[in-house]
Amino acid sequence: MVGAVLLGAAAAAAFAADPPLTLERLMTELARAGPGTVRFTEVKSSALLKAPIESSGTLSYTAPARLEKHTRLPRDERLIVDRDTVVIERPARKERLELRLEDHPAVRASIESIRGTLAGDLVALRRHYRVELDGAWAEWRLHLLPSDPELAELVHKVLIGGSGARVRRIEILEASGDRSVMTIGKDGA
Amino acid sequence: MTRRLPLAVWLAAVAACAWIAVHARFTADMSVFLPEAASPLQRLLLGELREGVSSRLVLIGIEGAPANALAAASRALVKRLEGQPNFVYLANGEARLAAAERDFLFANRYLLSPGVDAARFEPAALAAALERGYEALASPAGPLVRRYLPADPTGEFLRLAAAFEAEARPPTVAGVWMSRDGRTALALAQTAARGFDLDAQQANLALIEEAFAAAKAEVGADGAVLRVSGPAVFAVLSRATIRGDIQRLAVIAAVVVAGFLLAVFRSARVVVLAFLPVATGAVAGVAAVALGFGTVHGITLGFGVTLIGEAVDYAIYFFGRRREGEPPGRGLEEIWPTLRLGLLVSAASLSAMLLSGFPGLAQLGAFSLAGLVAALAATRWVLPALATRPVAPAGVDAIARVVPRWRLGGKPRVAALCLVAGVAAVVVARHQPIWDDDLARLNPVGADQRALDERLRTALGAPDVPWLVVVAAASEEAALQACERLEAPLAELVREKVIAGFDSPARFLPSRRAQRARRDALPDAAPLRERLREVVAASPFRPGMFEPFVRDVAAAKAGPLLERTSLGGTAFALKLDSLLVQRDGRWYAFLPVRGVADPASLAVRVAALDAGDVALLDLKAESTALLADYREHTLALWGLGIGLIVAVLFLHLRSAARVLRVLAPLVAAVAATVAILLAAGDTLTLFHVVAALLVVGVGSKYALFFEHGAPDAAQWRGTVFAVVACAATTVLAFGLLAWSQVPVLRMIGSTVAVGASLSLVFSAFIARQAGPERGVC
Repeated sequence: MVGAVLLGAAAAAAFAADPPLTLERLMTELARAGPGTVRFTEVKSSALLKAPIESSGTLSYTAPARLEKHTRLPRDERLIVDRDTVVIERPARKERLELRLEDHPAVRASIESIRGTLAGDLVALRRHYRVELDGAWAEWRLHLLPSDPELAELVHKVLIGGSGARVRRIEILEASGDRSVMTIGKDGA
Repeated sequence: MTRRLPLAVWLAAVAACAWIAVHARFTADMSVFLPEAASPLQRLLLGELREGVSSRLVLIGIEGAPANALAAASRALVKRLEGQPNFVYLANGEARLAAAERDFLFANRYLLSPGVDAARFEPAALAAALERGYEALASPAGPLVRRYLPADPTGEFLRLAAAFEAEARPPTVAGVWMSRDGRTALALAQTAARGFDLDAQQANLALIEEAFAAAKAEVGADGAVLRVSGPAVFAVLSRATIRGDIQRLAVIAAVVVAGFLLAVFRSARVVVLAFLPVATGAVAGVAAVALGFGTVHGITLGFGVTLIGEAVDYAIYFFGRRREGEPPGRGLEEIWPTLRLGLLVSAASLSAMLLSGFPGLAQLGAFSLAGLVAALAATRWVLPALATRPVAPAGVDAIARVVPRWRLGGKPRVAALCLVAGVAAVVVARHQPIWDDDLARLNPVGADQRALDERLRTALGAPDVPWLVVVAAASEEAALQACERLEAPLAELVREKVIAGFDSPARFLPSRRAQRARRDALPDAAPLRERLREVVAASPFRPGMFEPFVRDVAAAKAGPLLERTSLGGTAFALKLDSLLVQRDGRWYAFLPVRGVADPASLAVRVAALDAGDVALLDLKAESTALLADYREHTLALWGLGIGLIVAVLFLHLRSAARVLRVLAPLVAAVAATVAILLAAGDTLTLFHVVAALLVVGVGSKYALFFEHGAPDAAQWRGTVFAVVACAATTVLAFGLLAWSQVPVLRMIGSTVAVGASLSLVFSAFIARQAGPERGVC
């Protein structure tokens, strides 16, 4: 991940000369990126809410299966996924929750959409989604369409945008019409 | 006329018996080899074992192909079986079925959730609930929370769902249940028929196999194989095993015994006539069992094989003692008192089976007793009417010469037998363990099928739960209330890690009292709407978004309470049927306990509970204890059987010394047989105990004839020949049973075969040889 982000625009330009974009090649590039930490901002808009929820923090990925989403604003919360377990810590409430992913298919699917993409793990993605790709190396979009009918009742589509080996944006379109957009920014711990 | 009358009576009797036998119902329900239960609780357990919901469960595994192909095959299989009236419930983890349970939990959340009380709907609690909902919306569970938040801001449904999901359930791959190693797709079917309705179950299994073959072809899951297990599968396999066994063993036994008779008598006519008492006995035995028990067990028929070995004896005595120039029945009349005495001794030994408390064993006893009486009667009154020219058996002299070789005096020979018995007793006493009370060993189903059953159960998270808390009550409502009182103390045991978890019928169907309390705690629509308006105004939520919540609370408050029938169409109905049952006018609730870490402390804590009629059951220990009890009981009957035999012998022989001489070889034979079985690595069950009594019954004939002696050398040779020939057929028939796949038959067969051989050898020790004949009154 770090490697990918450091490459930046120059790398994106370099990819222009590369072989045509395919799902397998994109996944290989994504998988090649090492561990790293990036900043994110997320906007969740819902028909239920007076105003969207804006949050920000850092996102760290360590191959092969560890993902940590550390939200700093509006309140401190850590979500640590390692293989099949999720730990959620809310220091303000002195809460610590541990779940097994397989007991919570909906949570698992939304986590896998992020972790699977960052890991370039097509098998993990395809366990929950039908995966489609469009665009070019400079700007591509992955469409993740839930294959499980139960999941499809919750999530309409996950849309992941990026350039080169870098993921820039993860958008979750819920079946309810709500959506959340996570924008991934620069590297930073 | 005197020739015709017995024939006519016999033909009429055989025809009547045959009619009854043909119209008898046959079963292969192995549970008849479970003892009849003494306590109501045991009766309940055995009843559940025989016809409860768990007996109708078919566990299905599909393996041998990649996970995705297995999942596709699983889906196609269930789709094909659905809608068939033979199956009341099918599950393979597909969302569509989970939806039925989810909808039930959601629709009835205000009656089901233990958290529902008046405080839940106070403004402060509502504000806190909205605050949590707001935070959860932005979490990875956001989409799930979003879906239920407007109608269920207090989170009753998600809490209920979490409680049910926390239970061990198989993981899913591509939407269907899959074992953790990904090699077996899993499914469950509940049949409409009872587990031991074997014809129906066989048809059900054929339906599953047919549907699987079609499903496999449809999705192209090459190499995928179907594995099924469960009580119904076991019962059907048992029947097939028993049936195959009976046919094979009966044919072999008949051929071997016929071959033996042909070699000895060298007359086909004699061989055919010798089977006449056997056939008469078999028909009479089946008819007696059908009349006395209502149904005839397959194993009883299997036991009929031994009748070939025993009833043919009478024909051997008949033909062996026939002499030229005498009326046909004369030779038999001479030994009639001894034969009659032998039959009485056999009856005494079979009485222990009749009274054993096992319906299955009682059947075997009744069958043998009726069979032997009929066979002896046929020999005595029918054979003389049919037999023509006497035939001289071959090898009489050769066989007879074997016995007189012992030229010891009377006392040293009895002392030798005492020595044998003593040595055997020492061997037995030094052997540990002697007894095996594991019920599972009685099952004719092979070890690999049992291993498959365990594998599928573990993978499905439906283990054969060995620990149960059982609540008895006068009504369904009282039983459910008792379950609710147990909830808190059992949850405490989970927190203390004494147990990993437990299940309760009150989770699917709370008592009416609990439901009513929850319904009464719900606020009316107007005040709730008013409260919400203020709480929502101060929250990040837009006004009016929680109208579904107000609507659902109002509906629940005005709605009916849940009934048992409300669960129809969900997996909870199946579960409730197995956890809450009515038997003999009482209601019983079962709370299966998982992961018992500390059985002793669990027992102490459950005993201390003050929730009414509550008991903790360890099913495995319980069934083992049951069997041990019945072994004790059978040993007592053994004493009774021996007492009867001694009484019969004493009444006829009228001499303590002679009774002792007759018993000495039999005691030595039984002791040595037990020692041999233990030395060969067997452990003993109560079926061995019963078989040992049969040894006494069979062996007593040899001892009586040898002790009885004969007036001259020629007659003595005839006696020795007949006894040895009879022993040979008995050992052949029971020895064949020792090769049976059915453990009960195998145990009885090996014990009697070894015991009868030893009885013959030891009886020869007390032989009088030629000399003054001793009378039998």
